Amino acid sequence: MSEITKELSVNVEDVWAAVRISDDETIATGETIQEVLDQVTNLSEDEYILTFIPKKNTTYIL
Amino acid sequence: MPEIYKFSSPNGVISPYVPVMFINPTNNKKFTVGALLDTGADVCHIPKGLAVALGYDLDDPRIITRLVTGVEGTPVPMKEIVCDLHLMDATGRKVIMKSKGVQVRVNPSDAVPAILGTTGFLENLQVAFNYKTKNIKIYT
Repeated sequence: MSEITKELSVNVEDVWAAVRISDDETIATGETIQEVLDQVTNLSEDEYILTFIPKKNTTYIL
Repeated sequence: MPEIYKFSSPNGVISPYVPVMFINPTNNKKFTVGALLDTGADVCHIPKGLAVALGYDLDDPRIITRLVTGVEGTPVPMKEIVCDLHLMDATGRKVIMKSKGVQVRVNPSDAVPAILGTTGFLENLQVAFNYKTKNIKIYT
């Protein structure tokens, strides 16, 4: 799967992105999933992958 | 033949994310999400925003609330919904494995990834993690 979030330029609060499947381009980012979905209403759901963006200065223990 | 995925490392720590399509079987709404393979999780869980986008009414009194205990040790109430889960190939285009009627907990936050736990998902797979080569092999 895409590794786009490596180089992704996002706002500090962004935790979700939509990545277009056809070219691995990040087409939307947002603080919530709904915020991201509101930016991709022109695409069908099978054209992108919702991707979690772990925060750089946060340690996750899930 | 296994399906091979690459680890992601968006915050500098390599993590095993794979594309999974979450489907609400009552309305067929679906989204493909990069979800974390978590061998320490008993169940799957998703952020609240994904459950809402899939059309689940989390205020419906028929939806059961269960307590979930994470590493912090404090039980957190989470709604339990039922989803169909399709493991996709590395490109996100082709279905590799289907799990129907999976009980999924809804995390009240959106600031967490979708988690693929044992019950209903990992228990159906053979998974090989290679942190050195940054590859994950999944045999269905």
